[in-house]
Amino acid sequence: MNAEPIHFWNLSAGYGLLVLPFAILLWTKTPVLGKITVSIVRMTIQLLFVGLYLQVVFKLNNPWLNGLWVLVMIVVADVSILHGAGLSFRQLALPLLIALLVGLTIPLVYFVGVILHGSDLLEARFVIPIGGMILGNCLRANIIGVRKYYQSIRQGQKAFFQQLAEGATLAEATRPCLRLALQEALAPTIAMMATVGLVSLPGMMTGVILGGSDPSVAVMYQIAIMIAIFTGTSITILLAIVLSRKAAFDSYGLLKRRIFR
Amino acid sequence: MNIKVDNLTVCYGQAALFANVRFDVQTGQKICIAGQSGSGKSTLLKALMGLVVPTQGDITIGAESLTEKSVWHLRSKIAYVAQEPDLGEGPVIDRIRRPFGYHANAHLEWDRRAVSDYCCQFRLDEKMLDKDISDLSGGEKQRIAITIALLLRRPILLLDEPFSALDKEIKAIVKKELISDLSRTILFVSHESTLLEIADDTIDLNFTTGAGQ
Repeated sequence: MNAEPIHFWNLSAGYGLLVLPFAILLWTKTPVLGKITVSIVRMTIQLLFVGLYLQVVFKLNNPWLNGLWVLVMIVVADVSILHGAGLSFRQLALPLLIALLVGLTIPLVYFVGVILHGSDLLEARFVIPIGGMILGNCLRANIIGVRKYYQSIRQGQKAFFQQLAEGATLAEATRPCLRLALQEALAPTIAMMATVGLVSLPGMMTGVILGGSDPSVAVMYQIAIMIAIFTGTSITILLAIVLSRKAAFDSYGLLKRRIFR
Repeated sequence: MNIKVDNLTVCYGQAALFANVRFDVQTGQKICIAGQSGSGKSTLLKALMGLVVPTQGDITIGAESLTEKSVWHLRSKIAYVAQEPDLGEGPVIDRIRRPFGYHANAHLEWDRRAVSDYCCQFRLDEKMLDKDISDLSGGEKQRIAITIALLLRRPILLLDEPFSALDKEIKAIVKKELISDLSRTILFVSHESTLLEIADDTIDLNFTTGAGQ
């Protein structure tokens, strides 16, 4: 059984719902109408293109093509994280790319290999949606985590210098900032796990239910993806910070100013 | 431990903060660094710990030249008390203990009794050790930073306005403790007469070229 299709004219009618938020923003004179219009147009065009592309990818179901698509998603996430965190692409793109690659591969392989008992990892229906969900959460968490880490070192320069002067290695002196970054970056995922099902029905569960599966099956998928997301997020933040240190600090242990955009 | 600074220049952008600074400090000397506001006194102290990288010139500590390789080792010879020290967050006692967990300080033994002794000496209530650092006053933070510096038993002490938030009585007590070890080399930036009294000599950054001991 497949999800109930939405026809073109029905979806077009769906845009009518936007009258309400637009009316609120006009009434309150909130100056974001231009931005919102651009975002809605972008969302529509991007998703239509992705839909067309994924149709081809799913039809061909070629492991190389699927792998390439995941790699493209990782590169886009890499650029988006550095852009969102206000950090230099030239200095930090490679360490972050490696962090995302490792942080995505471990939970993905575990999810497909162990939880879905040895299904084909690079099969389009697994690797693309599951990889996308893990990566999307890694993106949000890494923007918070990597930005927090480098900003707290810059803003707390006196405390950082004090610790270097007390004999701390770079890892020892930055440990309080690492803790802070992990705490802040993982907070939304931890809150989501604590309230899932009570406040909202999350994406994967909704998708499985709309796809026609029993809610009990959907729950199993949701638990598995939450664990995979939390694992992937934790790994990518830690690796992104640890691997980017070499590029971000000079040999005296001082933060390079040029890593900030 | 002696310090030799030769032809040291620090620039920010195109402008030199100070240029061609030269001086020798012998083991056990107490040296005041003087100069107008913005002349680079604090920056000079930071440069001695590799926290500011000089544009040119050499710094030698003991027999070792300060380089990107030796800096990590040389920092363990120096204790530093910053102007308005930022000690981070968390309980005071944990912050005092933190450097004793660093690899470079593995040879030092954590001595809780010594902390109590310094607290008593510096008129700090021991109950304050369980407080959060953010609840401390400026004077308490300064005394905690000095306590950490003394507990680390480093042969060189760099002090940047360490008495600015202390009252007269405490200044005299801390000064006495600082000079109690005759072999300890001290470089300080201060306008406090209590501390200026201990200076064997002064390095004036307003007249630095070719100046010094």
